[in-house]
Amino acid sequence: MSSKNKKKSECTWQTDLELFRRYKDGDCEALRILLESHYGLIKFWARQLLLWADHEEILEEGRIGLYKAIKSFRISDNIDFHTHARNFVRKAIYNSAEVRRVKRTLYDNYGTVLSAQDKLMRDLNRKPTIEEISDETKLSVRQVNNALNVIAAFPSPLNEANGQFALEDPYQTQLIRDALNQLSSPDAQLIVHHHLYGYTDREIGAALGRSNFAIKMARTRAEVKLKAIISGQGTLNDGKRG
Amino acid sequence: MGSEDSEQLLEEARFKHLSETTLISYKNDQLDEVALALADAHLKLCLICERRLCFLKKEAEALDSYEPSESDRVAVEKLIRKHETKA
Repeated sequence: MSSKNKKKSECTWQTDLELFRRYKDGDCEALRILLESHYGLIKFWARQLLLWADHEEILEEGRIGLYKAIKSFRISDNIDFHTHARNFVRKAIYNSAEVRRVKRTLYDNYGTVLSAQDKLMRDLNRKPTIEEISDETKLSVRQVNNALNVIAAFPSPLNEANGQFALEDPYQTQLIRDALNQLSSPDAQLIVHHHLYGYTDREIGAALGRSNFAIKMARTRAEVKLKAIISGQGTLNDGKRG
Repeated sequence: MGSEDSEQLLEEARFKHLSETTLISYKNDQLDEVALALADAHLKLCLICERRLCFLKKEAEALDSYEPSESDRVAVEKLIRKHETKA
């Protein structure tokens, strides 16, 4: 399974590193360019809070966040500066006095909406609507919508404070990747399309020009192989793929 | 891990929220086939991660068209003077 590697911002990533190196060597012009070229981050994320906060105060917090991002950035951390700067700017904006005023309500609604969304996602096995979350939480549609926007815009600082955000486990992803890579390509495709993309045997069969029954049989065989691989009993004689 | 766990493993993976790194890689078309399938499966279910992805896409669009204004430049100069003279 190959990576597509169509990275759009490679030049920017390299330019940032070069500017950062120049700044570390004492070039103040490089600092100015770094700040100016990432200033749009502050304006973008500050705009997400315009409904209930003073814009200038938030911009000031964002500026301080961006400056701190430059000060704390280390090339050896193996992270691109843009991501590092985004994290610092969002955290600074989130921790500003303007946002602090509404944090208590925000925390309450955040926890309630996040729990309801996660519960409904599992119960319904589909994306819940805002109205369904509103019914579940007894919050208004507007409150749910605001909470969802804040959760989506500021997941890291909210999660640091709350810890409810159950993130994907990279080891689990790797386990699944390794197991699927040990299946033949058609078997892996059947598992992925049925269990991850949610297609029925009939839909897969229609796409491949095969009967529902043939797909069901093939999928069941693929599942047995996958189970054997994951439980450590699988052999690699099924045509290991790179 | 017991053999009965493999489908549960796939099922559970669909419900885990995506990391920001995954979302950025998704936006930039850089995920491998398995990671892409897991991300797609979760995005089909989750309003929050769908919005997080939307914010990242909007951020990229906003930055693509961003040109620092005169007031942005002044603010940057002030920031440098304030902090670099302190240092």
